[in-house]
Amino acid sequence: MIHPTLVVLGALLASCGAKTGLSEAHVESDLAPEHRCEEPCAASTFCRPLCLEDGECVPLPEPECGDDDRCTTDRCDAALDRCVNEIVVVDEDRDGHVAPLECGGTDCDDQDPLVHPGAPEACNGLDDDCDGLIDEDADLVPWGNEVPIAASRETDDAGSVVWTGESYVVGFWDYRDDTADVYLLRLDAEGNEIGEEERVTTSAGDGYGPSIVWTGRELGVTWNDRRDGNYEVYFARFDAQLRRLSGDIRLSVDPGWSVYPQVAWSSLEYLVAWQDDRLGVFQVFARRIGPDGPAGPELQLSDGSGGRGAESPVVAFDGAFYHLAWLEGGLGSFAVRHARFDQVLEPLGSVLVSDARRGTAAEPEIAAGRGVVAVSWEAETESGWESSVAVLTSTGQPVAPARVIDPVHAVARQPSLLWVNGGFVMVWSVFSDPTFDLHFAVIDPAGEPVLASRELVVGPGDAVGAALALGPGEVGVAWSDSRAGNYDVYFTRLLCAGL
Amino acid sequence: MSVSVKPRLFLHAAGAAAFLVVVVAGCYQASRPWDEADADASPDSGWPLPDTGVWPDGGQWWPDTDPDEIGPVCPDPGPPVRAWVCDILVQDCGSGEGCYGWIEPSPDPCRQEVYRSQCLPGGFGGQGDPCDQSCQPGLECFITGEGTQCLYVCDILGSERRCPPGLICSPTDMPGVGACS
Repeated sequence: MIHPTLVVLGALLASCGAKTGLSEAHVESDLAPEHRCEEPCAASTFCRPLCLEDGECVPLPEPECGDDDRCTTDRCDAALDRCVNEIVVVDEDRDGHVAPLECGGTDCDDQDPLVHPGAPEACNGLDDDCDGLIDEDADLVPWGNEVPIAASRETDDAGSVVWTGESYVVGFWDYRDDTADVYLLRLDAEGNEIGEEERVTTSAGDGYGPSIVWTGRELGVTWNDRRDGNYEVYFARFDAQLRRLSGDIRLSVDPGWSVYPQVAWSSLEYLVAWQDDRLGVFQVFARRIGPDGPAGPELQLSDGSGGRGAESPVVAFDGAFYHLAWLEGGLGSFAVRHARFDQVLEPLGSVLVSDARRGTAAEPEIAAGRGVVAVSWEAETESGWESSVAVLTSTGQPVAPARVIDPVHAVARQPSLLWVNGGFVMVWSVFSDPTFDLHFAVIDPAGEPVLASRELVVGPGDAVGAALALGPGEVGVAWSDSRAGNYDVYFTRLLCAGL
Repeated sequence: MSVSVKPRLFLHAAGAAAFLVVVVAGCYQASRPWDEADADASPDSGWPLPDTGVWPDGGQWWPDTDPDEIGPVCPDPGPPVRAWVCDILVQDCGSGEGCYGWIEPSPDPCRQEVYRSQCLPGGFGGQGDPCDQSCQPGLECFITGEGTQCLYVCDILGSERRCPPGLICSPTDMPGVGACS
């Protein structure tokens, strides 16, 4: 039974046939009064039964009109003198379409007036037109503007980009006066710079990266720099306005090369993973960071058995588990391994996802979606480079065989991944002699193509190293571009458009 | 032989025949003048905010609220010293030699590093090969994320020395020097 304070609009649905009795908005009950008596009073009615007892009219309990149908209000109508079980649907968002669906309504979200049958489908992860499909008539199209950001005379390089709900934040490193430092910069949705960039690294040794993650309240930033004479991994927190919330936390303690850190957020803690050669061969190490700083020591996540190295780790969190991918093997024979860990980094299993027959792998990327995880990589082939993607369940089981992302182009490299509204957006670099362009495509959680490969950025320089962020109904893309003769960071967007 | 280029390539001393890595201890725990007037960081991060301090030159630092937390407290150390004996991109060494570069850390992390290069007998490692036999002239040794390997150097700032088709001239931690990957 629906709460009786809801507006009764059953009459609007008179033409809708459904189990709930919508073909007849007012449904009479066949129930007779439960309590009959030997001699009813003359004034007794169905709804107000009275029984003559000892010469007096005694009221009997009212009849039970409930029909166990949650889509109806149930009452005994005194005027009609019978049970009435009335279909109840509502239009709380006043879009002209009633809900709930299970009661014969047609509005699949009665809190959002933009969601109803006939509404245009948008790239928002919602079933806007209530046909049971998400974003099926929507398309991602290049914005068309390619905005240089923080351009300098020297080389700078995109590392990471996120959307904070207010702005994009791009993390990059930049050579200035022959010194490389890590910076953060805010952009509005049009790619306009907001405020001053924030310099993250301030020591003498070069700093590179960064990898950044937005938690919903703050930014976690990790990078490697040479302040200790060798590359070590550091971490710091910033707010949405790029104000520091912490000092630098050195995560890699032992000497040795500690490089290529990547960060993820679990909703409780950060996790930073990197490659570290303290054991003589690079292995993947990681450290959790909680509100009070590092939550425990560094942990080696790759097993390193047989002298195999483990490099280029990437990390994602799916709401329950950490998913990592890294290159495993040795020079010329790397494969991509996916591994799953719980939130205290207990291993839960791993599997090789790349096909060694298709060449040694490089450039792994990972993205977690709703119940699935995608891992991408590049591999050199006899005729060039190909980029591939494998989709796994959240428990690490392959959903489908790995798929070549771009079978058309001989050289397709550096694939990036982002989970967007029920699918994975992929951006990669295609060699179009003499330069690299950016292309994009979308696959569904089964690994099947949704949007075929299309151009995103075309010449005149090399466009490489794309980083992706889910923005407000769009995808923000930062990359390194040599069109000005030197690498600068550029920004563009993939917008949603109806087909 | 493919190589990983993300996020960048790190020059490794193994490209040269010999190199002494100087590992230094931190100096940034020295006295740090600060005041507590500038503690307006996050209004609502949910996590603790450290007290902040200010250097005389305006730089800001963060004290050690945790043993692992350190402040990036160096005032601007200025650009590193470029002490190239030869040109890595031009490879202007004698026959059989290569020009190999490396980065020499400062004993004081708040002072400049030194970028060095030197003519040394050429090694044998070709494009994508491991660095253990050092690299042929024109190639340097890099940590790539897919092994430590010899890579052709390229001109990251222009088109003087380009990579073969399909290879990306990726930035390295030697300014101006790219590597083909």
